Amino acid sequence: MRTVPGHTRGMLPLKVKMFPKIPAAVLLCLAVVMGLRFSGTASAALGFVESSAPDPNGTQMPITTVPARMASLNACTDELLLAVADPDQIAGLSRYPIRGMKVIKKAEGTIRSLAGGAEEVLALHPDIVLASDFTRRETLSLLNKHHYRIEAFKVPETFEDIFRDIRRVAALAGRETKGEELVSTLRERLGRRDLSSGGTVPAGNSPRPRVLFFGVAGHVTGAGTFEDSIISEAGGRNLAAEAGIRGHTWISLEELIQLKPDALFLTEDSKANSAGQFLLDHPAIRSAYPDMPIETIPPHLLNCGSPDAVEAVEIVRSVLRRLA
Amino acid sequence: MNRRLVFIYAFLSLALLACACASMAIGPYPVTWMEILSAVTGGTDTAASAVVLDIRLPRTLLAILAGATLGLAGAALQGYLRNPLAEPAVLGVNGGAVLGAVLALYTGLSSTHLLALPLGGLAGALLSTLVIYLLAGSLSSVTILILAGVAVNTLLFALTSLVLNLAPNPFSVLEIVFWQMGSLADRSMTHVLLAAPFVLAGWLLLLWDARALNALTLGEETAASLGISIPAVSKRLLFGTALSVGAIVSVCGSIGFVGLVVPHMLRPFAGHEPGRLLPLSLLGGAVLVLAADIAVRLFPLGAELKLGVLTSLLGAPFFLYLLFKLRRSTL
Repeated sequence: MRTVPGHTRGMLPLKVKMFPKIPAAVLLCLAVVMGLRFSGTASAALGFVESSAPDPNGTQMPITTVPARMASLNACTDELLLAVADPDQIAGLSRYPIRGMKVIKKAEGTIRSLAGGAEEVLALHPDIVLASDFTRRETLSLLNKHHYRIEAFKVPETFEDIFRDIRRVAALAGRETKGEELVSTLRERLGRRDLSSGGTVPAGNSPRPRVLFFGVAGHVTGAGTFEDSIISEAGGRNLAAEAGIRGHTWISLEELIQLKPDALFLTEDSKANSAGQFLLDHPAIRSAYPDMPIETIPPHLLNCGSPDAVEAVEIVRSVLRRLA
Repeated sequence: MNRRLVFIYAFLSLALLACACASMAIGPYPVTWMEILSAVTGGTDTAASAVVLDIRLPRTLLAILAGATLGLAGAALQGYLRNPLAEPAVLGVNGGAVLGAVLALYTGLSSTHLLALPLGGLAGALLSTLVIYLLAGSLSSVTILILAGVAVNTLLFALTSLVLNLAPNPFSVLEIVFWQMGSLADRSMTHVLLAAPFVLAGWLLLLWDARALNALTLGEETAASLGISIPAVSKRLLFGTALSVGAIVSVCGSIGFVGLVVPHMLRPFAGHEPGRLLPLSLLGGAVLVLAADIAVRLFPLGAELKLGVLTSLLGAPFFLYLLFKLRRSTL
């Protein structure tokens, strides 16, 4: 049923050209379809439900329920949606795609991009709207008033939070197996084959290296941030957290030099253009600590706490291995 | 009168020296005087010398360059327009420079051509001075000039915000504050070297017409009869302003009110001769911005206060006081 309005829209110009009197009929059809939209049973009876869909293993598997059409208003929920949902289920994604995401590039042509206003969502008629805690209150309350199901996601602080979010989106999309598969792949990459344990990677005999994440305009991430979990997963100590920083803050270059990290990770691509960017290339960092390894972590691995964040752990881990 | 002038020069020079030393010594990284000395003379302690040479030295130099430029440009514009409210920022020169620099930076032009940044700022400043020149040349009305400045400033700010909104980097929008309020924090020697040639060339053009500005106090006709070519003076002046202010704004952002306040503070010492006020404002501006930049570092806040916040906090009440005095004198 969810695909019907799309079909009607697609054929409209052709029909109008061929039969000038058709528009009224099309409008009538649209009205009927609109009326049907609110009754799931009617649409099922009309046979608009997809009869089958390929499952992750490639075999054909019957689907018993209507796959929910979902729209995402936030770049981070975009990633979760793209990671687990079927492309046909995605009604719209936020306007700011996370840079470097291959999936988004693939999906760009077919999926509507949303600026974040309620009106666009109303026009798309999704079953579920994914949003973040930071989505405009006004937008959400408007959608609420129109009885849309809104699923708000917190910014994850640990990988367990990511796994929880993946499972949640997978459940909403009716693709639980896909979600579980993704979670176990990510766990494996994190080096946690024991699915029940939630502990950190055991530290070696030597003291764990002190790591600092440093971003645009001196952005650092203290305790309680997702970056903090990345560092501890990789087997390092978060220098910012040890310096007493909670959450996100900005420090000056002098403070960075004072902290004396064992390894520095720049959290924004210094090739991107902005006034705060030059700080990452500042010569003082190099000349103060010529032997300190400096590595760049692409921003899309960090901005969300998305499934891709595991790659950030791998980058940090490889640098720390070289240090040891 | 002459003794007062000597006194103020001596005072400002000493203040500049003291502020420069303080600027090299003050910052979150603990550095002793010995470490500063050994860093300046080519010592080996890498962390301390990196802090002194790569962070504090460029910052100090830029503060001096920026303050001197803004003070000088303010004095020159006030002298030429014979208008106590003239200032690069009020007239939209800063706004133009910001727009030019933002365009050069966020389109990526400045990463392929390093000089695109100061040149962008310069072009923007030149364009906005051109607008002012046309307005001042044909209308020479204070009210219209200031109103045009407000309009031009608003338009330039809107365009700057538009460019930052369109920039592919989502963090760009956050940088409006930097461009509006200016900062010298964590600049590098590259910034100094990018700005310095343009700034010095601009100073030369601005200082060129000290005598002409004195003659202009007698009115344009008298000045012309003294053999001064008004169009040549105005061209040098506006080009000098665009060069120096454009280059400074493109690396430090827009630092407000310095150009307005400094000439007014020093005018009594110059005996109301705008020509004499030029070098004095240059020195005074450098002291003011350097002192403000030290104060910004001492503020007990989590993140550093933007320099323009402080200069505007001091400058805006002064501006209002000026308007108040002006109103009283006209009543």
